[in-house]
Amino acid sequence: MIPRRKRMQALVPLASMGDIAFLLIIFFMLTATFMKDANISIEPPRSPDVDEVESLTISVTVDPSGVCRLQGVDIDPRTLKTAVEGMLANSKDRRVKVSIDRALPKQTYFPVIEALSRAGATPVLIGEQERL
Amino acid sequence: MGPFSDIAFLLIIFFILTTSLIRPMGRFISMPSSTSQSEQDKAHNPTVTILPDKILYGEKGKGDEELGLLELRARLLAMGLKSRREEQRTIVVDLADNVPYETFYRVATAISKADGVIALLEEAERTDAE
Repeated sequence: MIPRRKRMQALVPLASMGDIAFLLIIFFMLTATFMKDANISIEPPRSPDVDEVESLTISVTVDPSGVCRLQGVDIDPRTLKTAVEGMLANSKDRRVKVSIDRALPKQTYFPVIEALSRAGATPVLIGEQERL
Repeated sequence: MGPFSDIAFLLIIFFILTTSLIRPMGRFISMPSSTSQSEQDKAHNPTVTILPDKILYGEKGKGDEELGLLELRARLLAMGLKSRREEQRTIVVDLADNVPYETFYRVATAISKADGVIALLEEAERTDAE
């Protein structure tokens, strides 16, 4: 009599699935950059001289109505210099992401850029690539 | 263990959806490291005057000439600013009052791409010059 072969059962180790899942969560939590100004809609300016830039931690936004925001919070451009200086004090990276609406007049965007310059920041002006 | 890994995978899906994989486009602009560049230094550097409808480029001893953005880009790139010291890389930018941000942006990114340092002419300095 030929002994019947036992059917092998495929076992998925479910216990380690949770471990893998949590490792993935930790990875995404550490690499994700939460956009503090994601809800602000801006028409970006276009230029042929832009390249991809890294995601930066400090961001300044000026929306179409001229409201200036630092890290998504309203701020008077007159106090922007002091606020940015404070943020840069403990940071080696002096780059600040600057998103300004393309149609804004000089009296709105000039004080912002001037304040950043006086604070010792390196403004990274955000825009769109224009094909020539 | 079942519901535990369910929650974990839901969290993963949340992070996958909220992570921004698109990198923003832009350009950093260099501004003078000293707080106030001397008037004499500024007088020796080329000046770009941005008016709402035109761009003027001027060098010491020469009059202002009207340039299009492409001509300005070519002129700045031909200057070979990269090999120069910071004071010699400075381009003075004089902005008229009603210039929209996009016009300034196009000029500022062109100067920055050519390794120029942008010195913005302040209101008081503009009044003095006039």
